Amino acid sequence: MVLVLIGMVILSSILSPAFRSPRNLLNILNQNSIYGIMALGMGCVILTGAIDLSVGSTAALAGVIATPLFRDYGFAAGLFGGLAVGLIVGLVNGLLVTKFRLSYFVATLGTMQIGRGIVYIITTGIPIQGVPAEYNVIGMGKLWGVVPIAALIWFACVIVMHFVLKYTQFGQHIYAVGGSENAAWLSGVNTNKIRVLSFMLCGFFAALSGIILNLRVLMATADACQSYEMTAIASCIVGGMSMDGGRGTIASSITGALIMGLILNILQLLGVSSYWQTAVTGAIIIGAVAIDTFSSKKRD
Amino acid sequence: MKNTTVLNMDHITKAFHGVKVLENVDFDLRQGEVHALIGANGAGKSTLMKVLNGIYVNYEGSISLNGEKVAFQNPWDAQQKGIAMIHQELDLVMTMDVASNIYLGREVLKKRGVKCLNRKSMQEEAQKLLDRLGFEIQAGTLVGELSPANQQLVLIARSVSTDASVVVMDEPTSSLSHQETMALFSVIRQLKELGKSVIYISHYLDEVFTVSDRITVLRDGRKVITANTADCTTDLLVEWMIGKRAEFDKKRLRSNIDSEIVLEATGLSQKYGIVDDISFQIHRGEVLGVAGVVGSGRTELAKMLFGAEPVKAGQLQLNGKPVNIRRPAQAVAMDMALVPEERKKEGLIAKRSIADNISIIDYKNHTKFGWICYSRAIARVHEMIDYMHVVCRNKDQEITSLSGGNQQKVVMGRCLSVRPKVLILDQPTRGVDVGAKNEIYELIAQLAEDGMSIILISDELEEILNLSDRILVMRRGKIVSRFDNHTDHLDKNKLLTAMVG
Repeated sequence: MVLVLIGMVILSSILSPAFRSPRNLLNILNQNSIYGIMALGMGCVILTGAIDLSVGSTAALAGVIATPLFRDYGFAAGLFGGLAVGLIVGLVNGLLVTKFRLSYFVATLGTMQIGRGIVYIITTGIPIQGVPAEYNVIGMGKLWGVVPIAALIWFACVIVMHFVLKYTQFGQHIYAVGGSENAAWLSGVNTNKIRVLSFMLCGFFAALSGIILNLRVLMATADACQSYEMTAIASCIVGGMSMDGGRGTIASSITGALIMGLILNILQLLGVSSYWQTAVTGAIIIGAVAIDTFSSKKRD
Repeated sequence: MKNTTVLNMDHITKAFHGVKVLENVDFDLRQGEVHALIGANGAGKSTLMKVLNGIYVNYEGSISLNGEKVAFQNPWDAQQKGIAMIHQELDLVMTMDVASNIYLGREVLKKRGVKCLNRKSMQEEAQKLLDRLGFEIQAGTLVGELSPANQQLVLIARSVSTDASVVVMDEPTSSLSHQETMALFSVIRQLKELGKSVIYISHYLDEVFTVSDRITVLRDGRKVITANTADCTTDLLVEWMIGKRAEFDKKRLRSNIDSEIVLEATGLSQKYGIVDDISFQIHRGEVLGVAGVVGSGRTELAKMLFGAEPVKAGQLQLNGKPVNIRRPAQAVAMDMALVPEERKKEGLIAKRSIADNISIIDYKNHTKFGWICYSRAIARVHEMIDYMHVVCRNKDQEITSLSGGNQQKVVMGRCLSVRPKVLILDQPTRGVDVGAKNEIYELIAQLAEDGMSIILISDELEEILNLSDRILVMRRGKIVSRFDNHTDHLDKNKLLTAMVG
């Protein structure tokens, strides 16, 4: 998939001179950091063989809760308040799946709707304003005027998660649960705990991306992060994760997120109608994954 | 008629990544015969059948069916041309009824009007077929509600209805009871009378003697011999399979067992099941055999001890202290380990490497400040691969690509890597070849000698008799007999009588 990404970068550079400018490239990073961070948490859940549909709503809810806290109690209050929302939604998802034995699809579909519903109830459809403008540096700021801060947060999170998954028991147990939940359980892995924690991580990163969006636009809107869950799932899959879990690396979600972002960017630069962009993105997701699986699956 | 060759596989060679797993194998099948295909795990039996079935399309050599050269592109293609496969894992749709499964892919449509399914005719035809074959199965039953033995019969009925000329049975008896096996044999004889040819793959030599006309032995991807069954003996077959005489009936008991009681169960009963009022003790360095037919509650007992099956009543004491184990994780924390019965479903962590599979529990012993120290963990993996004699390319090979025996060694390696005090083995040699079996026996004896307490559950009476110091016999969830293998002069007959008596 990295090869597909490189190929796309080269092709885009030839097609559009505007694409090549460092400014545009950094802009792609900045724009996609929100999806990218969300995909990190989604990756943890997908590696266990589940999906979390509630991330978009969680991100919006985190923004809605964080905004007044930012406004009235300062940066730390907003940050912790928002992240707590993510952890709580994740905990609820995890408990529904493990204790109440709901399928992950049903459980997270439900919390997705409830989360979005609460956002509408709180905002009554009107954006909540008042995030202090100086916090904008997190959402839009650039280190030394060049490197987007949001992208730096994204990459820092990727590095941390890479090490957590590869070098901790928790990380290896996530893979084991995705490989075979039953076998992992009988080997002494507390599979329910692993599932709950993976959903909480997913909620955490969803909230973090919601907060970054919040600090970028300095307000919380009711329709924020609508259908972002699909982009996050697509990033993981395009990055090469197995939908059944057990296979894939967290770092590859960067590749996935960037491929997704790049497609959109080049379509915009080439002046493709925005009506076409969505359809083309879908076709390219299928194409990219098809090339990958087709080339790796030779028949014996 | 009897000597017409139906199928001829000529000089089949198949290699993966340059490694030859089949080399110049010839195999022929006559009409109306049962031809057994035997060999140790990894000898190439399954590969040969996958070549025949069109799962593998790139191979050298040629196949002819009824005198006509064929090259199947996929299993469906093979089925169309008359090859029926009955796998260990039964490929049936559990949520559909028997008739629909028999006619799957060849559904009968209504002649007139809209071409929708003619359920009534399928149902009737299927029932007629089942009755004709003498199977006591209703065509309208959901396949998922049938016993594994009856599910197998459904597959056999399907093969008859597709008019397959060759039926391949890959370890058909692995999940069957003795009675069901006998019933299957009479079905096989019926197939012969219908003029069908059967390729019969099995690890059980006594079955091969009972059912087959000829035997082909494979070893390390080559054909050793094709012989008439009447000319073979167990010793000969084993010699052909492993290339040397195996010590088949060697008793491996310990002379001085510690008096220290490690695990003690009192009045253990299962919450939702048949296991009732089980009491026993196991000493340090002792092998406790648990015998019983399929469904006697032995596997459930193992799982209850391990916290994987809910317990209604009873006490469990570990090293003299009462313990309450409700999850496998707790059992593992108390230095217990379980090698489960269903290797594929419960043992293997699919999609992961050998190294991951071995070290999943052991990681906890190789962490520094919460981070895994891979150099130490991997050193232990190599130790276990050597110790268990796992045959593999390297530690990063995916577990599912290993042969059954090697998969089992990896699962056992996982349990042993943490040096448990109590080891529960549920059918440790199921689907394992003779060579690996002997290694596992040797290992069990050695572990007990080193002071491990081992609970050994097995279908194979020799296994129980040769390895256990004491033996419990279970029937319908209860312990019905207890034997001391050192003093009771047990033999297979006596044990079997206690099991089924």
